[in-house]
Parts: sequence; structure tokens; C-alpha cells
Amino acid sequence: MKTILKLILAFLPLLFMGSCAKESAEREVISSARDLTGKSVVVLSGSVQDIYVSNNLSDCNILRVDTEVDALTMIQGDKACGTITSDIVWAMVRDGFDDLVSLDEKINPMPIGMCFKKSDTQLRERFNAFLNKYIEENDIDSLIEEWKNPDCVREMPDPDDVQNPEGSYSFAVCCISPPFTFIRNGEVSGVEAEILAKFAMSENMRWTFMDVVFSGLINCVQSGKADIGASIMCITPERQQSVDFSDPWIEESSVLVINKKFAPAELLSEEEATESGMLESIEDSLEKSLVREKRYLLLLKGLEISVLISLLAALFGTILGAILCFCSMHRNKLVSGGANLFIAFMRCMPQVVLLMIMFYIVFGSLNIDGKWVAVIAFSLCFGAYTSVIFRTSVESIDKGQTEAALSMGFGKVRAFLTIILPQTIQRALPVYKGEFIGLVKATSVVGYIAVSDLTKAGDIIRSRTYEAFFPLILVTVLYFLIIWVLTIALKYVETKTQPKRKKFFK
Amino acid sequence: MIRIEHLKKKFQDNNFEVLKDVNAEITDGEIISIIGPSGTGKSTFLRCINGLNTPTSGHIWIDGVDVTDPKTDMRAVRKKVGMVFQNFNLFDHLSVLDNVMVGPIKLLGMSRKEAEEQGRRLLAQVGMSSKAEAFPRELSGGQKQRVAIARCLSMQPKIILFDEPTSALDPTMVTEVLSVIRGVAKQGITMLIVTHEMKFAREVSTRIFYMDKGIIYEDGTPDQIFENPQNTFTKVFIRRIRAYDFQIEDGNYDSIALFAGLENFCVRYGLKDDVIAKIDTLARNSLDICFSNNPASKGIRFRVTYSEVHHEVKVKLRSTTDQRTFICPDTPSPALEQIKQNCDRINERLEDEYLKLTLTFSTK
Repeated sequence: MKTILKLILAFLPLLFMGSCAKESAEREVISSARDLTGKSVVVLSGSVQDIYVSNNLSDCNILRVDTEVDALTMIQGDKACGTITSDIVWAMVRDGFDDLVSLDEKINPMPIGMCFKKSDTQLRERFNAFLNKYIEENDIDSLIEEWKNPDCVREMPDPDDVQNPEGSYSFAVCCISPPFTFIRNGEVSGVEAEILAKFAMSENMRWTFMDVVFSGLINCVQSGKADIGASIMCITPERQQSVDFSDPWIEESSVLVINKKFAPAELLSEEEATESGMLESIEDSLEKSLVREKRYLLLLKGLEISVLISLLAALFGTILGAILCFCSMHRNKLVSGGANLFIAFMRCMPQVVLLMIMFYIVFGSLNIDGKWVAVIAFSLCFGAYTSVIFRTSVESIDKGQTEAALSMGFGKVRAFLTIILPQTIQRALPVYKGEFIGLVKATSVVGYIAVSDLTKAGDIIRSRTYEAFFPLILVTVLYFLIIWVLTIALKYVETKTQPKRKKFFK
Repeated sequence: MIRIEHLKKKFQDNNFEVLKDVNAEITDGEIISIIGPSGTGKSTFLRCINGLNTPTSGHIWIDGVDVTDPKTDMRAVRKKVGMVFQNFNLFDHLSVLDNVMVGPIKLLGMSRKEAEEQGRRLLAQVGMSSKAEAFPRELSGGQKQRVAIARCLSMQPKIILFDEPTSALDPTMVTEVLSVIRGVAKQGITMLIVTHEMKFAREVSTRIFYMDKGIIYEDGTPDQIFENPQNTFTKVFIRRIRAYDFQIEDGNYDSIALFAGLENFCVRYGLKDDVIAKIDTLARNSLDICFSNNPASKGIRFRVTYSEVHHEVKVKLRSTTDQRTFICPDTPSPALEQIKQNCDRINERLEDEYLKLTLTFSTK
């Protein structure tokens, strides 16, 4: 813990350097969305705000990010002038951003609903009936207020309470949208999460939540991976072409949030935040990032998933790599051609793209956990990469040694196993190690397909604490530790196979 | 006993027929050297015998087993037929001792103890006991080849095929390997040796195969082949292998390559140091005079020949006629003095439109 703190202290000056804004001689003022012309605007990718900005503020430089916190942090850091964001979200997070301010102008009010697969009208109608009854019986506004409270004690229903269930629903949500869908004490919670859970209970069904990026919600529903998708999703004509929506249950408007230095004078209040001690604030931040709502559990679970995916993908990928290597060196042109084509294809495809193709298309209609899809996708990639490493290593060993072994009376397979393979391992390991490190880091994109790995855990924490610093540093440290430990393990194998250290016949 | 009938080998990729029709019969205990120009299928012939290359047609019987029959278990055959390669092909990840133990343990079912005992004995035989724990990369070429021979012997073969065992070695290491092979030759193992070491071939072999044009062109005792070859090709070959040729284009010729090749030639024929020194002096001084007389000299052929029968060495220069003279006896110089001191006869003459200089001395 002490070392971590030291590391953090070492990084602090960097953070402050970034937040030192340059003071311009004449103050620029942004008093409406139109003043943004020619400036950078940051929006949540795929959100209604994204669509709104694209259609109405096309002369801005539009930046797209995956979480609202990222957008706000960018404005703090002067990387963008403003963001257009949901008023509900802004109301939630405004306390965490002293140096930002929202304009009063309400932009583009939109109805919010849950989305369903086009063909699933029955489910949608049943849900609408439930939703309307629920709105009548409950006060939505007070429900939102209750979930907004950081000390909220409201309990989520437990799927295990459903006795003799008739089945199970899968709900796709984006867990960085408090108070509607977010992670609390390691479980998916929030207003929409509660409504969905209660709907499932009313149907005597159990349920599971899938945490996906916002831009992937509709794909999940469309491909049948989830029965219902929700996360304050606005009902727009474009979306309605892909999915059907439930009846709208609240309305969301957007607000323009800007840095205070661009704010019109009337919005600036004179009160100044009291400075707290640096160490205290670090302690507070750490507490927020790790302890509150048991957020360390998120990190630990993410760590477990990252390690699991990395190790399994490395294991299967290595086996696949060996097979591919064998095939690509095969005498039969059809076999070697096929293997080479596959390798070339895999090596040219960005891993994120492959991951999403696997999840939404190849296994689109199959109910399979995203983590297994990730294992398969990364195994394929890793197999293709390592097969090339293996092949160059095998080829770098003089054919003469195989001939010598054959001429002594070894069979082809035994010659390979006894003579060639040990030398191949020796030569391949240093490069293999680098590839393996690359694999561990590459797994950080699995968040795209609803897997909560270490990176995603960091994102979730950031969306709750509205701080970029500690979650990112913690994630960095944890990645460093994983890779460090795994590299030591490989190093051990490397020294073990060094001929100097080894007597062939014990 | 090995019997070879109508052996043909055509390579798929370049459609070149290396072996056209090879026939031979080899009895147990024979030591056969296979000589001939490069690229005439000597190595391919050896590799067909232990099945590393598959013949296109024809038959090879080893102790009555047809190794060209696809049903034959080549692993069993290869245990009896060892091979020593040009490039040693030691197992790089194993120590020297492990190299000579891996076969007996894995293939002959020997216990570790027996294998080690045999291994150490064989290493002692090839003079490599002190390097038993070393790894192949720590050895010189000659040492590697000696270990490779020990590894081959560790399988207790009845027949050993040597595929140019000294071609990849520095001249200084050739002798040590040849002496090891001589030692093996005394053990009564049947041996087939592809080699360019004519002196060695002559003294170690019971029979010589001269291979050319894809067949065994001439087959006879060493004396027959070297002293009294019957066939035209054999004659040309035997004459040529006793000569060292170097083509000098002009004054900027690669003298390093010339003298390195010359030294190689001398070592190959086992010439004594004083003879080598004489040849060197004659070569250097004659070339010196040639280029100082006429710096624009072009197209000179340099040749050194050695005759074992007449115990005579000749250093020759040959040029087209626009060269007026190589050595002008009228202008004395230190170089000319040295030439006179080191050789018995100086002969410069015009013949067949060439100007020829021959410096001869006796090695007796």
C-alpha cells in the first residue's frame, strides 16, 4: 500500500501540470450552443447528444468518448470546450466538477424507453403493460432521487428469490449511467435495473444483466444476445429502424456543460471551494475509488477476468499456433495455403473488430458468455501470431539436424520431439514473451462485448467517482503486476530450457 | 553387403537427372572412396543408400533388404547405416556426451550407464574426452566433425556413409578429422566416403569409384584410378585435381584469394612446409616481376601443379602474346634473384599463341 501511495505521489505533479490552464487576455464567453462553432465538443459516442451535435452543430470539431466522465474530464483538462450531456446525468455528477458549469438552455428534449428486438412484440406489449402500471403505482421522480443519493439503501431484488422460475431474461445495460444503471457493491443497480428486475419477477422469470458499452446496446438486442436493452436510451427514428421501444417513461433533455472560464458572468457564483489538505484529498480519493461501495471488489473481479482470459487465450492460442505452424509447413499446398490465408487474415484484423465480429455475428444468436467469446477471439489471434513465431524458429534450425536424427534411425515424429522441439522452444521464447505481454494488454478491449475486465472495472469506478486519476493509476499498477508476475513465470521456463543449465539425461 | 542396380534419381523441382544408371556391388569391410567433379551425384548416391533421398527407380539391397521398397522400415535400416555429414549436424541443445548418448538410449534401448560408458569410450577414441561436457557451439569445426563421427559410431553401425566430411573445414582441421576416419577404417566397418581429399582417398580406400555424368564411370583400385586411369574423363579429372588454377584479370586481382587457395591446395596434398614456402616465394616474385615490367598486363592464368610420381612442383604463368616477356634476365632484380635461388628450371617460351613461363623444382 505504501509503495502504491508513493507512486501516486510521484505522478501528482503531472496531473497538476495538465490542469494549469493558460489565461487569455480577453475572456471568451460561451452563452449558447451556437457559440461552439469552430470549437471542440465532446459527446458520448452513439448517444442522442451525438446525433444532435452531428445534425445541428456540424461546424464543430466533434470528439466522441465512451463515458460521460471522460467527456467532463476532457473539458476540465481543456481538451474540449464543452459537452452536450443528459441533464439527468449532469444533475448527478455536477458536485464532482467544481470548475464546470451548465448553461440554462434546455436542448433537444427526448423520450426515454427500453429497447426490444423487432420481432419480439409480445414481450414488448407485456412489458408496456407492466411499465404503465408501475409508473402509476410508483413516483418515478422520487425513485430517481432515491437512487441518486450516494448513501442509498434501496435494495435490488434478488433473482434467486424467484421460486420455480419459468426461465431467465437477459438484460443489456451500460453500467456507467448512474442512477439508472450502474454498479453498486459489485451488482448492477439503479432505477432501470430495478424496473427490469421487477418486470422479470412479475413474469416469474429470473434474470441476468450484461454490461456492455452504450454503443453496443442495440447490437446486443438486435442479435438476440439480450431480451431487453436499457440505459436511459432516447427513442430516436434511427434507432427505431433497428429495434422497437417500449412506451416512453421519462423525458431527458440535454444541457451544454462548459468550463467555468467560458461561462457568462451571471452563471458564476462568488463562492469558492474550501481547499482541503493534499494528503487528505488523496486519502479521500483513494477511499472513494477503492473502499466505498466495495469498489475494490470490482477491480479484483476485473483482474480475475483479465488474467483468466489472458491465460486461457495464451493456452489455446499456443496449441492453435502449433497446429497452424504444422499446417503452414505442410507439403500439401491446400493445407499450407489454407493455414497461411487464415494467419494472414487474423494478423490483419484489429483485435477489437475481430472480437465484435465474433460476439455480434459469429456467436450472435448463441447464448454464450462474452468472456468465452473473448477467449476464443484472442486464442485465434494469438494462435496466428505465435504460429509465425514457431514457424520461423523451426525454420531457423538447420534441416541437417533432422537429417542427422533420421539417419540415426529416429522416426520423423520422434526426431521432431527429441531434437527439434527443445531447440524451437529456446529460440521462440524471447519473442513469445513479448507477444504474450501484448496479449494481456490487448484483452483490455473486451469491455466492448460486455465483459467486465480490469479496464472496464476502472471505467465503472470512474463513472461513479467522477475522477480519472486514481482508477486509471490503479488499473495501470494492476496490469503492471499481472504482466510482471507472468513474465517471471515465462522467464523461469526460459532458463529451464537453456541447454547450459540442463542435463538432457538426468 | 550392398548391391545397387540401375539406380536413377531425377529431382522433381528442376527435372535434373543426377543419377542416370548407377550399378555397384560392395562387400562387407570394403572402404570405398567416391570421387569426381562437383554436381555429378556423389552425395545424392550416398543419400539414396540410407533413404534420405528417394530414388526415381532402381534397387538397393542392404544385406538382402530392398531399401527402395516403400514397405521397408527405414528406421531399422538406418540404425545399421550411419551417416557423417559435411556440416556435422550435431544436436545443438545437447552436450557432446549427450550427443553420443541420445541414440543408444532412445533407439538401442541401452541403459544410461551403458550408454555413458560407451559414449566416453568413443569420445576417447576420437580424442574428445576433455570436451564431453561442452556444447557443440563451443567446438571448432574439426572437433564437431570428430564428435559427429563418435555419434555415428554410438549406433554401432555396420556401414558408415561419409558425405564430404572435410569439405566444410578449415585446411588446418582437415588432418585431425582424416586421422579419426583412418582409425575407424581399421575397425572393419564398411565405409563409403565422398571426398575431395585425393591423397587420403588413395591411401585409405580399398576401391575408388569415379563418378561423372550420373554414373560410376570408372571403378578400380586406388593405384589403377590415380596412376593409370582408363577413361578420358577420369584422366582429365585426375590431371586437373593435381593443379591449382587462378585467373588474373588485371593488376587489381584478389591476391588474398589467390594465396589462400594456393595454401589450401598445398595442405590438401600434404606438402611439407619448406615446399610450401618455395611455392609461395616463386608465386609472389614472378607476379611481382610480371606486373612491374608491364603494369597493364591482362588475362593471365596462374597455375601450380604437383606430381606425386615425379616429385615435382611447377609454377606456371600464361598470357596472350601482347605480353612481351614475363622475366627479363637482362635486368637483374632482387625478385629475380629469389626466383633463381628457389627453382631448378626457368622456362619461358611462346607456344600456341600464348606466352608461357614455367618454374620447376623438385621436392625430393
